[in-house]
Amino acid sequence: MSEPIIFVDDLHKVYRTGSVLVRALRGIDFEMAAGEFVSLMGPSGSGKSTLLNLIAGLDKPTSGRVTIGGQVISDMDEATVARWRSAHVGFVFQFYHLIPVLTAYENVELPLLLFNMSAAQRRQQVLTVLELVSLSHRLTHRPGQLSGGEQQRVGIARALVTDPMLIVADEPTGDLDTHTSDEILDLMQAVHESLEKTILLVTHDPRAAGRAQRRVQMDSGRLSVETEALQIDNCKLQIEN
Amino acid sequence: MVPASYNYRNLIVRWKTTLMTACGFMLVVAALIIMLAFVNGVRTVCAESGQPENVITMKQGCSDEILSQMDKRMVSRIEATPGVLRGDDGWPLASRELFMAITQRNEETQQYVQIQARGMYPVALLVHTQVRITRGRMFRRNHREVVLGIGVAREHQIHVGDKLPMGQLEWDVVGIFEAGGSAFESEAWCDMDQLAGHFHREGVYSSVVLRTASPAAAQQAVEYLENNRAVAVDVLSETDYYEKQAQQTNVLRAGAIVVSVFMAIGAVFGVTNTMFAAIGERVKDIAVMRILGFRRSEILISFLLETLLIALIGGALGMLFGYAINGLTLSTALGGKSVAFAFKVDAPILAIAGVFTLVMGVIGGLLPAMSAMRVEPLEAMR
Ligand SMILES: Nc1ncnc2c1ncn2[C@@H]1O[C@H](COP(=O)(O)OP(=O)(O)O)[C@@H](O)[C@H]1O
Ligand SMILES: [Mg+2]
Repeated sequence: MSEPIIFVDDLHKVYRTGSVLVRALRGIDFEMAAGEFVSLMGPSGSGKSTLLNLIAGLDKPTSGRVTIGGQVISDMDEATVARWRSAHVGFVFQFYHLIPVLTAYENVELPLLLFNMSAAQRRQQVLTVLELVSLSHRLTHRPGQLSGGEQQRVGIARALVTDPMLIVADEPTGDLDTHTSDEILDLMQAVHESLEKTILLVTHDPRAAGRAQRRVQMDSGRLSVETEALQIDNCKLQIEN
Repeated sequence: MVPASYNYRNLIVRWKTTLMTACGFMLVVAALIIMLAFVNGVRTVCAESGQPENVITMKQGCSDEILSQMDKRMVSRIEATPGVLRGDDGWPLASRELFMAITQRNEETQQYVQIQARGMYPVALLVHTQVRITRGRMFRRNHREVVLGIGVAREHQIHVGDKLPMGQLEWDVVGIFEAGGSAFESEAWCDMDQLAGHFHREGVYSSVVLRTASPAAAQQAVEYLENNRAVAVDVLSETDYYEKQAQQTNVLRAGAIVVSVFMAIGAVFGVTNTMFAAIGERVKDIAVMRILGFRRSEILISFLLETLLIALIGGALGMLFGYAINGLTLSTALGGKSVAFAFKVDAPILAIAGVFTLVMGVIGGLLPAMSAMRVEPLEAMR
C-alpha cells in the first residue's frame, strides 16, 4: 500500500444547540493511505458523519487538523475549501440527492460545470462514467424515473466524474434492499480496484463494511477498534454478540 | 455556474405558479405601455400640429383659442405685422379664424356630441400648408358646406355627401382632409361668414395665424407683437403653442409612472413570495450544489436569474398586449379641445418597459436569492 495521504490529528468537534454542548468527536487520530478503502462503523450518533464531513471539507473542527495531500483543509476558508472539494472529493449520499429536474446525464455533468472544460470534453467524461456504472441506456431519465439502485449508480457516477482522489460515501446503501445494496457495493469495490480510488465508507451494515480493506469502529466520538479486513468474520461475530 | 436549464426546468415543472406570477408582471408592463403610448400619441399630435413658420395670436390672457375673442380692429393691426408673407394677390397670408365647440344632440342616439368647428377664409390653406383635401373638395365661399378632419370623420363615421347638423341647420359634408396627424384632423372646417352668421358671432375672431418665411422670421414677428402696445395679444409660434398644449401631458406621464410603480409593488411581492416558496422546496438541491463545490454567489445568481426569467416572461407578454394598442385611435380632451390621437408604442417606450421589468425582477428576486445563498448545506441535509 502506498503512502498515507489523509492525516487526521487530534480532531474535536463540539456542537452547540442552545445551552447544550454535544461532543461529537473527542480526539480522533486517523490516517488513510492513497488508494485505501476504509469503512467506518459505529452506532447511530457515534460521530461517523461528523468525521466524514470534516475529512471531506464540509465542516470545520472545533480543534485539531485534517491534512489531505499536503494541504491543511481544516484551515481553508469557505470559498477555498469549496473549490478544493469540487476538485478532490466525490460525494455519495444515503438518499442519492440527485437534482430532480435534471436528467441522469445532467446530474452527472453538474460537478464538471465548475471547471473550465469544453462541452465535448464534459460529454466524453460523463458518458465514460455512466458507462462505468452501466447506465448508458438511462441518460435522459430523470431521477424520478429511476429505481433506487439506479439513482445511487447515478450518484456514484456523479462522484467519479471529476476524477477525485477521495470518495466519501455516507451510508450509501442505507436506503436500499439487500440485493441492490450488494450491487452498489460491488460497484464501489470495482471502482476502488480498477480506478484505485481512496474510499471512505460510513455504514451500519457489517456486510457493507466487510467490502473495505480496513474497518474502523467508532463509539461516542472516539475510534475504538481498528480491524484488518482479513478478520472480517471475527468482527462480524463480535458485533452480532 | 449553475446551468440555466436547472432554472427553466423548475419553472416548467411548476408552470402554473410561474404563469400566475408572470401575469402580475404582464399587467404592470401592459398598463405602463398603454399609459405611455397614450401620452406619446397625444404629444405626437401636438408635435405635428405646429409649423415653426406660423405665428398664432389670441386675445391677451387667453391661453386657449376657445376662450379668445378679438375684434376687427385688433385683427387688422395683427395682420399688419412686418415679416408676414403675402399671397399672389398681395394680401397678407394671415388666417382669421373662429373656433367654436358646438354641442349637438344626435336625434337618433339621443346623445350629445361635440363638434369643433373652425370658420375661415380661403387663405387658411395657404397658412396651414400641411392640410390636404384627400376626399371630395374644399368648401365654397358663402355656402353651408364643411370639410371634416379625418379624425372626426372616422370617429363619427361621417362620409362625403352626408349632412352634418351644426346649430339649427344641416351642413353638407363636401370633403375630408388630412393634416399629418395634427389636432386639425379633429375639426370641421367651414366658411367664416356662414359660421359667424349662423351663431351670431359676426366680427369676432378667436385667433389669427400669420405665415412667415422662416422660423427666425416667425420669432421676430412674435417679438414685434409682444412689444407692440397697440395690440393686446398672446402670441406664440405655432410650434410653441402646441408644445405648451403638449406639456399638459407631463402630469399624465408622471401619473402613469406612479400608477405603474404602485402596481409594480404588487407584482414584486408576488414574485418574491413565489421564489421563497420555490426555494423552500429546493433547499436540498441547494445543499447538494454547495457540497459539490458551487459557491454562495453562484447560488445567488442562479435564483436571481430564475426570478428574472419569470419577470421576462411576464414582461414579454405585457409588451405583446401593450403593443396591441399601437395605432388605436381615440379622442381626448386637451386644453379646451378634443383631440383625436393614435396610441403610439415606440422603441423608447418598449425600452422603458424592459428596464421596468428587469428592475422589478431584481428587486423581487433579491431577498429570496439571498436566502438561498445562506442555506447551510449540512443543516439542510439533516
Ligand atoms: N449540526 C449539529 N448540531 C448539533 N448536534 C449535532 C449536529 N450534527 C450532529 N450532531 C450530534 O453529534 C453527534 C454525532 O452525530 P453524527 O456524526 O451524525 O453521528 P452518526 O453519523 O454516527 O450517526 C450526535 O449526537 C448528533 O446528534
Ligand atoms: Mg450519520
